[in-house]
Amino acid sequence: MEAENKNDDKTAKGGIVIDIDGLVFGYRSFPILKGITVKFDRPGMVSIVGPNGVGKSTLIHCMNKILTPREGSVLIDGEDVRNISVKSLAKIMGYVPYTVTNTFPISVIDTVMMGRHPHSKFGSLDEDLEISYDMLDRLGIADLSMRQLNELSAGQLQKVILAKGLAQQPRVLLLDEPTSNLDVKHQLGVARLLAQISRESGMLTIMICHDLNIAAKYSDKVMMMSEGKVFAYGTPEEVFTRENIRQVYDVDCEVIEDQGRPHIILRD
Amino acid sequence: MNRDVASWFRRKRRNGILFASAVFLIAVLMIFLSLPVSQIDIGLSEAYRIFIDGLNGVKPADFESFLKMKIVYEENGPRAIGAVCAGAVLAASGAALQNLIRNPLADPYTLGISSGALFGMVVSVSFGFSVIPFLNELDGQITNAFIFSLVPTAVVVFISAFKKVSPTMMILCGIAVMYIFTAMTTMIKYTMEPETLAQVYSWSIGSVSGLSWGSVPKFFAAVAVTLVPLMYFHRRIDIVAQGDNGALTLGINPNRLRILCLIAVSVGTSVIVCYTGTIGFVGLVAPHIARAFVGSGCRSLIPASAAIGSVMVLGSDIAIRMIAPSLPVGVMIALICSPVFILVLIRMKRNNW
Repeated sequence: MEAENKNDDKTAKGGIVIDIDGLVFGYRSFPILKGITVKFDRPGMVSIVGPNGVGKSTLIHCMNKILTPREGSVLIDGEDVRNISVKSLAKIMGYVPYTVTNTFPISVIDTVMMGRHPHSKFGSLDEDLEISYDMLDRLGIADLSMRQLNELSAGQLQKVILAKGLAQQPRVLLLDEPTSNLDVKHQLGVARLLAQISRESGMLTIMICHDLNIAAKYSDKVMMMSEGKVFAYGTPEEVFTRENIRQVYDVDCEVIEDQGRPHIILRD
Repeated sequence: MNRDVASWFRRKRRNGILFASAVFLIAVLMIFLSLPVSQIDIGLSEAYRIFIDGLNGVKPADFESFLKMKIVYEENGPRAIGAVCAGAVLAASGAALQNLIRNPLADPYTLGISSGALFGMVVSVSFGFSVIPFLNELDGQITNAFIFSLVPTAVVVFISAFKKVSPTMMILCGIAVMYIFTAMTTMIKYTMEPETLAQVYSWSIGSVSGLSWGSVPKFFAAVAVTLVPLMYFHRRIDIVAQGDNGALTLGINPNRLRILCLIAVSVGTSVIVCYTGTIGFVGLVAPHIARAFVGSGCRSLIPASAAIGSVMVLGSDIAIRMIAPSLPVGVMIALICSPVFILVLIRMKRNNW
């Protein structure tokens, strides 16, 4: 369930440590998270997988102060998030929501520029523009910069929201199903880019993902959740086993190896 | 390509400010053109001479010049400035509130701020009751109006102590509060003397007649109190417009921002309402016309809305003065601007909201 001893080489390089201890959250009497204890202690890509309603989004919302847990704590580099102001938190932790409200649409570049808000100060406009454009470019949608949000397809919009999160240049990026509206090519592209940026900049990327094969292909670690608890946490090989998938999803499958990573073939 | 985007970005910002400035210039020009507009025949150059005489404190020589001095300098001058300021405050407030609450129907009127202010004023006028004692009559009215204009905000804050208040709930609360205040104002109207009733009636539609130079500093103060904070928060308002969770993770507390802006809007609106009554429609429509020209980023939207609002109120007042001087300006705003608004909706390139 945990593999913490064999990685002393990378933790030293300024990686951020998130320590979640006994996290409990519930709406009224209905419990959603029933005691989550997990430690993310090195940069890289972590995927959170699990069936609908097991509390994946709730867990992420407890990490970035959108929700306040009933019990337990989330420590970021040893400091409880409860004691970190939203303003300071925004400098180190980014969040890519499932979608954005689009009542009064504005342009793509304006939207991505918002991600620079925690860092921007008087006179930083050029730099902010540069970084925002660069993120759009890396996602392959630089040509959409001058378009309005309401003219975009769902997949394009999702990439813009992702660019907004990346422009924030956080040390931890939390993503809620960032590839759900994308076609297969762009699913792979986005997951690959996230893994690459995590590696390059030492960012910890925590992504909720419903596509087990995407998670298996690009994650350094996978956390499988079941009924408000951590069912398994480890490398993709350790987590994605036929037995685990049957227990958590109630689906039969076959796990084969493909390009050195597990590949899951679902059976009916 | 990158250079294209950067220059496009800058050009768009510059154009937004240019548009707002151009419309504002039209409003200023209209102030000057409106000076001679009245039921008696005064030439434009004559009007300026009278106005400058008035500024220099020259005493009128005969009855005719006394009358003209009264119309041009003492009535039309402050009336035009009041109309411009009222339009600016209401429209800028509407623009910011629509983005903050993510609802195209939000404005000081639908959020109950205007009717709260009107109720506070009516209470003061008819019962002589002032929430804060020992003020002169006018200050008593203004403070009353301000305190009651905060009621919708207070209701939202009160509810948020028990449960999470969504932006849609905020506007529904506002509408409920608006109806309560309107009903109470109507009840008070039944007990009123006919003269006060006529005054309150025209207030409830919105009127800029009867303003004096003494009120002009307060109008300017209302503009400053509303526009300065809203412009200071413009970027944060845009971020909140895309969703509360996203804003929170960018370091902005969305509910606190909404309450701060609601207070700024309440202060400005209550001052305006004390002098002009509840002018509806401007706060709702001017921002939408502005959106069609400068987009929905608050940096351009707030000043552009303010400028368009100014032109709307002053333009309507000029029309009133030419056609039927006794009508409240609110009637003419609705009459002229609704068709313009529908035209803008039809001509709009995209179905934006």
